[in-house]
Amino acid sequence: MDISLVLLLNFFTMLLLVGFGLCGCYYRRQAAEITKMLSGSLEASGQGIVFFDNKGCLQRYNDYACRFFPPLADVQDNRLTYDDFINHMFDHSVPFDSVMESLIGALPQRAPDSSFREIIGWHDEQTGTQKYCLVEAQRTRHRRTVIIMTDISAGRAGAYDVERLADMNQTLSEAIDTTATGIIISNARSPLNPVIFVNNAFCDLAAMSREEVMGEGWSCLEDIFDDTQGLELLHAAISAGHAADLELQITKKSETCWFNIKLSNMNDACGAPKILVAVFTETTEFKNREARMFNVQKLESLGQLSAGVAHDFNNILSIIYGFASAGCKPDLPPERAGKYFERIAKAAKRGAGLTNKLMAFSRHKQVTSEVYDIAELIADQETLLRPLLGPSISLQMDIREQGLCVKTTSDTLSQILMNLVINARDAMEDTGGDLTIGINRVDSTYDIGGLPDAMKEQKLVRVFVKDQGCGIAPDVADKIFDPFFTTKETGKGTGLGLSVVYGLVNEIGGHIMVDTAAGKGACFSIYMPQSSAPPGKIIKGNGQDLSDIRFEGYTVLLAEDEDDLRELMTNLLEDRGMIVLPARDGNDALMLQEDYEEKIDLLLTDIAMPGLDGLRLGEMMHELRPDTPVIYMSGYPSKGGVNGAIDMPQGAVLLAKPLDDLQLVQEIHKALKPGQVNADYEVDASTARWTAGQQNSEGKR
Amino acid sequence: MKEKKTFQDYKYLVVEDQKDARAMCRNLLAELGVTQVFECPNGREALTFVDAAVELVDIIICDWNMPEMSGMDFLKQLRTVYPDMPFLMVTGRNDMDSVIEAKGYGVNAYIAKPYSSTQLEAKLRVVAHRMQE
Repeated sequence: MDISLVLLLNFFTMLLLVGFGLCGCYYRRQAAEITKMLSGSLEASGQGIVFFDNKGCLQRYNDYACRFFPPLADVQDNRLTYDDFINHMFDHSVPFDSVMESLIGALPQRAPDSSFREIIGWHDEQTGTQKYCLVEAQRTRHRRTVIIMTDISAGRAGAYDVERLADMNQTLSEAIDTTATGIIISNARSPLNPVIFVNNAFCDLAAMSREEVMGEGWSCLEDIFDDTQGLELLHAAISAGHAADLELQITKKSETCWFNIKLSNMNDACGAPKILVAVFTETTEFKNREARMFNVQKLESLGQLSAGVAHDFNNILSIIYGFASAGCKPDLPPERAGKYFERIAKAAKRGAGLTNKLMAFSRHKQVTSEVYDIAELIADQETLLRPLLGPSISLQMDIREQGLCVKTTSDTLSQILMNLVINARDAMEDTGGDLTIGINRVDSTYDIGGLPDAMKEQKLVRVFVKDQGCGIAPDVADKIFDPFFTTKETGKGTGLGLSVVYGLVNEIGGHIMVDTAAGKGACFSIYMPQSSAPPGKIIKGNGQDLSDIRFEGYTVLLAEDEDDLRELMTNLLEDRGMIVLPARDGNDALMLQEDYEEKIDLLLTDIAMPGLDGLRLGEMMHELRPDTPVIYMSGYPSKGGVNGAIDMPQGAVLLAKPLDDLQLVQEIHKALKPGQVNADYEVDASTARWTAGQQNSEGKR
Repeated sequence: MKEKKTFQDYKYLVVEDQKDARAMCRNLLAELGVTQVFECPNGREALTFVDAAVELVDIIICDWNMPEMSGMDFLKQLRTVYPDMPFLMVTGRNDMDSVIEAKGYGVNAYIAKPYSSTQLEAKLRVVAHRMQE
């Protein structure tokens, strides 16, 4: 071989060797760097990592792994084996529960020689807390094993908190479901205000399923309430988003039940409404008990009332007996006998009036509140209250203002007054004196201490009952409204009277106070909100200007046989706000009044009518409805009938046809509000004529 | 044209348990010009009377509170056979609830004790007027 060829080969060989050497160095350096980088990553990892080689010997691990597996820190010369690790792990494994399963998923069957997942627990000395670690083992391609350990202590605690909250939620839901109180919660953030929670009690009371209510707005409850007015109040409170306390009626299995509904709202941190909670509590039993107590007390006052009435009845019977005996005398002149019979009839009528009042009082009825003129209501009670008082007590009425309206029931006010009057009478038993019942207006400008705040800004009406009796000692003054509290001797009173008054006053939205001192009499004042709504019947205008006056809601029975005139007058009266019952003649008028169950405020009748004339009709009305005033109309000259003069009843009002509308209005005003018409304002009937009526009534004679 | 009958032209049956009250009613009717009046002391006898001689009865005037058979029970039985027989109920219960209850059972008119001849006339006119409607 050529030497140069050998040298060349050697040179290339050396060159290759140097090249390989250089490459080897480079790759070794690279490998070292990768190893260093991997070690760094291994150490920086937030998980513990341990490598075992294919013979099960410990190969590598990071510091983090030592936290979970303390024996690693003491390991010398990689003597720890995979089996040691497994044994240690099984010694520290913790029972696996549903919370962990929800956190890490289900664990496969334990199999130490292959991939597995396990949880171990230990006590961390540094923090003094229990720690938990998820251990996952994976076999690599080269039969090495990588163990990855993850700290799940925080996650596990969180999961347990979630579990605890869910558990608590469940417990609360079950507790709310078992209560007898109906509860609905709605999401006030949504404009629809959908129901997000409803309990069993509510579903039962409303006879609705949970599905029918959940997610629906409050309007889904519309059908369960009987009382549309109550539902409107509920809706108003919901849309206004404020708390409310309502009473509503629900019919369950054809039985009427009462519910108290408390509406409250919860706001978020910014003050915006978050949820609305309605709590339905059944109050039927309470209401029934209250009604029973009302009746017991009523019986008590009825007893007192009967005693008073019995006294009056005896007086009436004495009159009847006296005049009847006198009338039996054989030589009595017939004129005198007639007079006696008149007295007897009068006394009997008085007796009938008394029994009517008694029956009206003893009757228990649920009446809905209406707007009343308080002065009229109290004046109406006077005849019933007067017999309660002995001769030494004089009843004074101090009605300072007419036309003050309150919303109440006549029954309620009657019982309130009855009890206060009995109370006042008993206080004046020894001394006698004046018992005053009165009313006056109270504006917000009056500073009345002790009134509830809600009433301070309202316009009020005060009804007071004042006596000149023994008064109430200061030490018992705050107990007088307590049930069964009485200062009377045993057997003279149950002590329920004033407590019932207190309850009734509250029921009509009022407040009662007493002003008294021992020996100086007592004045009970009931403050009631003035009603802004007018009463069913109201006279608008003051009587000064008759052209503007209106008789809103008053009922007039109009008997007129001339069709055109009847129609014309009907229009005129309806234009003045009256409810007109037009009758073709006397008999027709009788029929109408028989069927009309409300009060008839006025009878306006023609005198000459076929079948039954106006005078006889007036007489009958006076007997059938004694409170109805009568105005007669006649086409004949004043106080004249077809055949000359006719006998008009005493004090009868007769209008001459053709009618003057202003005169008619004035007479109607006088009849409806006696004593309140300005006497200076008189219409000259002969000059101011009702021209429209003139033509129509032309042929009427 | 057919002449309109007045309340005086009808035949009446008065059902009332108290003798004096029956007599008073008969007197008042006589005073009002009613001439044809029959009387029964209770509901049971009244039923027998109506069954036997219905042509003698145009209008019944009946008390509510009676022993044996009350006016209301009499009315209920009467209505099963004579649904349109005019019936005027007389009673001491002068309250709206009783009126409504009575009208519910088909009473044509209702009069409260004590009543005068004027009141009785008014009620009889109402009943007679209804019969001719």
